[in-house]
Amino acid sequence: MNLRSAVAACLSAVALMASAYSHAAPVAVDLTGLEEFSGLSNVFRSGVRISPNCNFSTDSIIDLRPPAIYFDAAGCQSELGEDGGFNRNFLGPAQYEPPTNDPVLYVDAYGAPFSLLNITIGVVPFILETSRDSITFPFSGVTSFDFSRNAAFSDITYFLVRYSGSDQGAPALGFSNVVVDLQGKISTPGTLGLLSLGALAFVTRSRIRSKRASQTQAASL
Amino acid sequence: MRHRLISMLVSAFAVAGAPTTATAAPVTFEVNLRLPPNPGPQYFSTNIIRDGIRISPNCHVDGGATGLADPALGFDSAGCGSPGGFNENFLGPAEYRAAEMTRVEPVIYVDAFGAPFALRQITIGSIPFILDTNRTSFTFNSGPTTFDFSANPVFDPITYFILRYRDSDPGAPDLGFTNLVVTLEKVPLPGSLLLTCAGLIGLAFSVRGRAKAASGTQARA
Repeated sequence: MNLRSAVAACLSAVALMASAYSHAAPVAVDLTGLEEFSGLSNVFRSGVRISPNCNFSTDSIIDLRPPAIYFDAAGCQSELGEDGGFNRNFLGPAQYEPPTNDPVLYVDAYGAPFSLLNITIGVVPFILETSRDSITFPFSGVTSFDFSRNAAFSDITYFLVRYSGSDQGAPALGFSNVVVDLQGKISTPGTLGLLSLGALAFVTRSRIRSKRASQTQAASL
Repeated sequence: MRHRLISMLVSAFAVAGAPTTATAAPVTFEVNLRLPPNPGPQYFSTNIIRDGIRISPNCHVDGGATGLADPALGFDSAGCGSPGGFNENFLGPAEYRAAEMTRVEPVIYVDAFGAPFALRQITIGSIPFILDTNRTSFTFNSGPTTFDFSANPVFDPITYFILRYRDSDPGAPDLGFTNLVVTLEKVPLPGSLLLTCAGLIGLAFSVRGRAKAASGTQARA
């Protein structure tokens, strides 16, 4: 194997190894199996980061269709409280840094812009805050939102849900059915990237062969 | 003859005066929002009845709204201050009633003939709006959004809702709704059961009248 063939092979290998950005369809964020986490940590799912400032749980006094994720401020005054604690690696805005009595559940796409298409939130009054806007929903009850044509929820860099009033120390607020559009920023095998690199390798190889052929011709002359 | 007269009167009363609602199992359905053909302008300064739901603009209703897929209903205040430009038979609260040559805040009022109903789904757009019901009021800051209130008791039951602009309207139907799904407890019907009962009563009177007449004739004979 000569140098150029090796370069072509390396390019192909890099393409295989490196995940690349490619356009993605709406993604339903996988909220299953969160029980195995302590509730005090960040969770990475389906290309998004879910970060409680206090703690999250998958059990609640309320009735969202599972899988769902809930949160409250119980034990949030201490890092490892009796009834929970707080997340010392909270990823959201500084004003919600723990310890706090204002529990939030923060979601982003690793800093990249994304669109929030669907979400079901319940059950006490809540505030849905994004990097662009803030909506206060003053009603108790489970409500599903379809923001797929709402520009205010596209090209956001984060959203968070928090209690409109003070929480009762029990997870009475949470969400499920989160669908986002990561707008081409999802990490995938990068089919298009692979194709491009494959084509590049093919062209390089063809050029090498034609060069080699012309050199052989010149030498024979 | 007297009994026959009574039976006729009962039947007439049943036809003319029977209530137009009959108790039925709650039924959930999407309201047909297609406007009837209008030989004149493509708007209606009148009340519209669709699937047992009364839709009443204080100004007028348009057969479409900015940013919403058809069939949708939009509304605004264009022409509302001129004769024929407003709905003289507006069904909503008096504070929104338009009067000739006065500019009012345009609203669209929806009820089920005064009967309680549940608002299950609605898509509202495209600019900030206020959704009032007889129980609550809700301001939303942006864009076309589909709300699924099917698990939210705040919207079950209500006796009416009103959609209005949060800010002043631009004189074009930039606000409206589509995808209206409601549950009716009592479905407005021709009152078939009541009519049948009234008819049976009338028939009984008629038979008794004939029998009495026959026995009277026999006694005389």
